[in-house]
Amino acid sequence: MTKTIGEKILKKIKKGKIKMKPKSYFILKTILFVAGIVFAFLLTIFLASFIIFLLRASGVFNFPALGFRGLGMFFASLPWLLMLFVILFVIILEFLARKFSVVYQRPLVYSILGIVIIILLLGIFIARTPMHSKLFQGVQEGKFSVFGPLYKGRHIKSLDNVYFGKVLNLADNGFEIETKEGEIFSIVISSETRPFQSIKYIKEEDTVIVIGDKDNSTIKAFGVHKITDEDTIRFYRRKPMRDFRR
Amino acid sequence: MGQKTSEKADEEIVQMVQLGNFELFGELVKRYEAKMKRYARKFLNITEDIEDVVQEVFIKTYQNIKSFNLEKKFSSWLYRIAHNEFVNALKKHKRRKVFSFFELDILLPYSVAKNDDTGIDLERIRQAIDKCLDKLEIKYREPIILYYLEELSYKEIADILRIPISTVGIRLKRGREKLKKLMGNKFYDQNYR
Repeated sequence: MTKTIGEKILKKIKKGKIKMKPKSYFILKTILFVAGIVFAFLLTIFLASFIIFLLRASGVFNFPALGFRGLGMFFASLPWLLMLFVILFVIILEFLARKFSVVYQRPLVYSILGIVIIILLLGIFIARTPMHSKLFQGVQEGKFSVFGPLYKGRHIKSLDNVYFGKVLNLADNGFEIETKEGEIFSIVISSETRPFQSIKYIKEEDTVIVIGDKDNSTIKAFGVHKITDEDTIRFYRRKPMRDFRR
Repeated sequence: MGQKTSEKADEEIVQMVQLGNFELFGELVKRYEAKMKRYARKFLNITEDIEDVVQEVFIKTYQNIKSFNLEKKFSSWLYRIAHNEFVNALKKHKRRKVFSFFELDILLPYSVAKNDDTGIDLERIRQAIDKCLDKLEIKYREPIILYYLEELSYKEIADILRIPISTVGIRLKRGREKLKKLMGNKFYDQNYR
């Protein structure tokens, strides 16, 4: 006589061929799943806040204020590999979060936007705390070797026409700077230099970033930024200038 | 006097099975065997191996029954297991991807009124399902089966397929349109019954 599916299954259960998985199995699975989400979430926020810190510390955030050329330099300087990792983690987070009804019952665009906004807000908040600054400083001093590859600043592409130095003296049409290596450059300021207004506030001994075209020891500046942020000074002093300018 | 097993709700029976009364699992199988076979037959579009696939669904259900949340609806949970099992069976059978990881209608589905099928002859839809369902893409086929044959709600279908509720509406609407196209004039032919 042909048995029904129910009879066949009950027979297998009685013989011990099919067993219920214990409650502890599902509890452990849930714990691992939640831990995975939390880990991915924290890692994404850490990376996002690090990118924001790096862009601020390197002064890259100021580049778009220098017009189209500055905008081009801004995009050329973005840490694309790190940003790609953040995008990848956002996709992983979205994939994990879609196991929850509150997420999968809504359009994908809402949950992705929600994750991106949360990561950005928390990233901006953490970037404003001293955490990255302390880790960055520690790595430069030879501590926290585990963070070394991340905090050496190699994610920001070195650009040929960015110069960092201390203002030696002021002249009628600009000023002179001395780089960390002792090189002296004459900076020429013109109406094309941005932000033009702020240049008159530059004094001797100020630390500046000059963006411009070099001709021997003269640099025709199209962007000048006075640096007051300790992280930016640390960022540009982290390796010899010749390395920085390739 | 205690309630008869046949009068108990699915979730009450599941609770008893979870506590060790495994004999009662037979009652759950009895209640859903025919539905699961119909779902499998329509979804997989095969007649052989149906028994094996459905048996596997119930085996998975029994193995994982302790993970079932008694506050949820058992039938939706069972259909979710069946959906996963059928998708795996299709992958094995066709040796190709059944669903894409990313579907455009999940990204930002526009809202479709839930009673968008008013004025549609349900009997005609069911006939179209019988005749042309196998020609319909899987992503439209499954919501059509669950809504018109299994008579599940949009929310239940969304929970089973893990897609937005609005996507269920869109897939049903497009599925119906495709069925109409496949049926051609027969869909409107009053004598076609």
